[in-house]
Amino acid sequence: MAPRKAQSYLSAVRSFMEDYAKRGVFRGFNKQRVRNGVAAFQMIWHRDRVFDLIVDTKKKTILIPVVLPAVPASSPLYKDFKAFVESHHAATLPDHRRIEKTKARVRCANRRGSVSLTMAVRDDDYGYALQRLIHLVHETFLIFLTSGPYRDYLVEQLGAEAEIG
Amino acid sequence: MSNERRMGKKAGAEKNSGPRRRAFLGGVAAATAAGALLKPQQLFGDTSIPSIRIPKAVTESLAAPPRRADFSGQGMTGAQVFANLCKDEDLAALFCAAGNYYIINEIAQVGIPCYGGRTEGGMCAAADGFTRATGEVAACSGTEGPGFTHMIMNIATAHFSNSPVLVLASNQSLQQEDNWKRIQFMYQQPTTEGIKKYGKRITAPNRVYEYGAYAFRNLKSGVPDVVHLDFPIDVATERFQDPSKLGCFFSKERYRSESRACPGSKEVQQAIDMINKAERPVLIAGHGIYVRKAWDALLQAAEKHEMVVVGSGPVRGHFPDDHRLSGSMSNLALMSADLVIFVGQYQMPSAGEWTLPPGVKTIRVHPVQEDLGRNWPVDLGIVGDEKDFMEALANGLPPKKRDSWVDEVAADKQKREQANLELNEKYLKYSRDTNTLHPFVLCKEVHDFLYKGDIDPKQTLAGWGGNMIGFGSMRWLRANRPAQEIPCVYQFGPMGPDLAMMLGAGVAVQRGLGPQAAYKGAPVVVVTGDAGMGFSLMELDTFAKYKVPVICIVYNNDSWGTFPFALSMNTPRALHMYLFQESIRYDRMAEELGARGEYVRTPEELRAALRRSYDAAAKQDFSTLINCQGMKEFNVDKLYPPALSFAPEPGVGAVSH
Repeated sequence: MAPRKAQSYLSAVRSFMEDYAKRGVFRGFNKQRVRNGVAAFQMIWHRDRVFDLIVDTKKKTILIPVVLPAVPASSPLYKDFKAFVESHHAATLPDHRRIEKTKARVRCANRRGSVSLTMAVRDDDYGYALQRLIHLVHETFLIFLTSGPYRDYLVEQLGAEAEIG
Repeated sequence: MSNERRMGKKAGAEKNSGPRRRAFLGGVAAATAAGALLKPQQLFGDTSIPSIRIPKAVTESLAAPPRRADFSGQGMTGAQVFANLCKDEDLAALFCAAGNYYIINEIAQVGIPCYGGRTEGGMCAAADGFTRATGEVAACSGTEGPGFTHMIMNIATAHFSNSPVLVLASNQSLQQEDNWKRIQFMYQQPTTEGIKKYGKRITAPNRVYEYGAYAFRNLKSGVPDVVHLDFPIDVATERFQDPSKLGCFFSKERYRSESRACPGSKEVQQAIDMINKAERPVLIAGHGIYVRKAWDALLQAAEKHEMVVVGSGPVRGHFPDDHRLSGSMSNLALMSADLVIFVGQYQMPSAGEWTLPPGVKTIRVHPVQEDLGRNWPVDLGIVGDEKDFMEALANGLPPKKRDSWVDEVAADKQKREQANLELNEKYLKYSRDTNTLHPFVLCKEVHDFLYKGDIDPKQTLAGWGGNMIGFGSMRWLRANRPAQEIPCVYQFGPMGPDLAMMLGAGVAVQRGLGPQAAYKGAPVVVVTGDAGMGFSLMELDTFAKYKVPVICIVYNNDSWGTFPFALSMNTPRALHMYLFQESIRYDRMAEELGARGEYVRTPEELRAALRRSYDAAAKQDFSTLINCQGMKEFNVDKLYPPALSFAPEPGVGAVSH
């Protein structure tokens, strides 16, 4: 990819990320490095954890390497999460919530318990892909984990409170 | 199973209820009621134990004519000056345990409705519950030292719920400062630092009126919160024969104003433009909507412009959960919002705590400028009164239809209700297998009884607390009209004040005050845990004394619901600290306190007990404690999955903000 094109994609991503940071979505946001069309960002986000976000303009992906830690690959949690992620492409979802497959495709993977999300950018609209990825992670923590049978996981792995008082 | 108890029968000799802690009754041939208390007891002869009864003296005392003190003759004491001020401010109620005598006695004597209970802490919770149920100021009182410090947990609870509770405490003489003469002197004000809006230890007697005015200015304006006054005895007993001796002695029309900050017209128009352009706006109706009684304007604006609304706060119902525009059970749909409007949200969440999209465009309306932008960045911050703003919106927003947005919210709500029913089937099986009640199953029975049966679904004011049982209540209790639900654990998460808090709420319903007017006299319900009984059980005596009918549903799992901590932290030697004896009969304790008692183990038994209890409450003002046998193991996810946890926020079940 031409360096100038790559640069413009990375600028778009950085601009979106900075805007999210300014709007209080992340605490502590910084750009780590840019090299050969790859930019890495780091931010403090859900459950006060540090999240990495890596944009690779050669592979045309946006990757969050650890969305959920310590999830065994054979666990019901991982199985449910995969279905949850895939459901975001469903045609039954309204346009403003659906991840349009012609524009971006999201996949999750499990590497020794660390669950990652990778958004493949299909039409060079990195802004769209990033926004959908950020929303998906947001929904993971605020809807998926809290609505499902994952209390012990939330408490033991993510430090959530187990008691009201 | 039910255990009926007959009440009101006299048997045996009258009890000798002579003077207790202070000797001021001795030698005073005052009212008939006082004289009746001094009859000697028959020591020999009939030894049968009398039935529990409300003493005649209570009824006579409540019927005694009020008396307003004035400057004539010997003049007024500081306590009487203060009591008159409270009366002129229409202080709606005082809840107290005996102590701070000069103040509470004069407040009662001037004609303010007063309620004496079993502990200062409980009475502070009652005052909090009363303010949540009515929106009016209530006072609580405790004696110096131990009485005051007993209230700390519930003062903090009231503070974090923005309840306008006037905390009154006596204090020892100014002559006792720093020399420990006698007992109970302490500096109270530092103890309530951080859990009140305003406080003062009144040290100059001639400023008692002035500081009373300070108190009510703070209680009745801006963002409501706790006010704490402590009265050294020198202040309460000083006499004034001449109004010129009192500082700032002018009427409330002059010492405070009802004026409110009106939102700027330009900013209101900006808000209207932003809302009109949005495709999926969500209005968060915070506690300020309730405090300012803006629910009619809210409903008008929401319906005119098809805005989805979610109510929040320490008392719920200012936007009905059963309204088609309510997003209170549609957290997934709320993630589609493209604009959020916070109105009157006092306890502000942080960005990322609530199910709203990251970085969503935000408008916030708040009466206090310095809070705008705290925790959650705003695109438009407006300083203004909540009611004025909602009326401006109702007038200024054009009529609009947002069918697809409303449909999306409705579909999500339906999905969640279906999920709840499916989950209930799972927990029902656990209940049947163990012959005990799962908290989710219990709360669904209460839900069906209150909202799906033959009781008006808008009628019953219900409060809830506890840990395990709280996780069930938060999913099943509803608020379909203003002040119909009180989450007693809101923000501060106290365990135990629930029953006492609902005493205050029950008084509000009994008197038909504010939003409770249409349901005057109806029973109230509280769902709580057995751990909470250690704090509030004795207040069933107070419920009975004042004939306030409550149905108290106790989830009895023989433990603090947090016992899994001892297991998950691999500390078996700690487990005993979390456990109670098994099969404790709180229902029998209730009977000995003048209430009915029921003991249930199955949903069918609970259903029948609810019906009997409701009839007894509605027809005869009898309270009932329903002891529901549960199991602590239901809180262990590995044994009975899924263990219950917090509901997503905002909406039904929210406790944090």
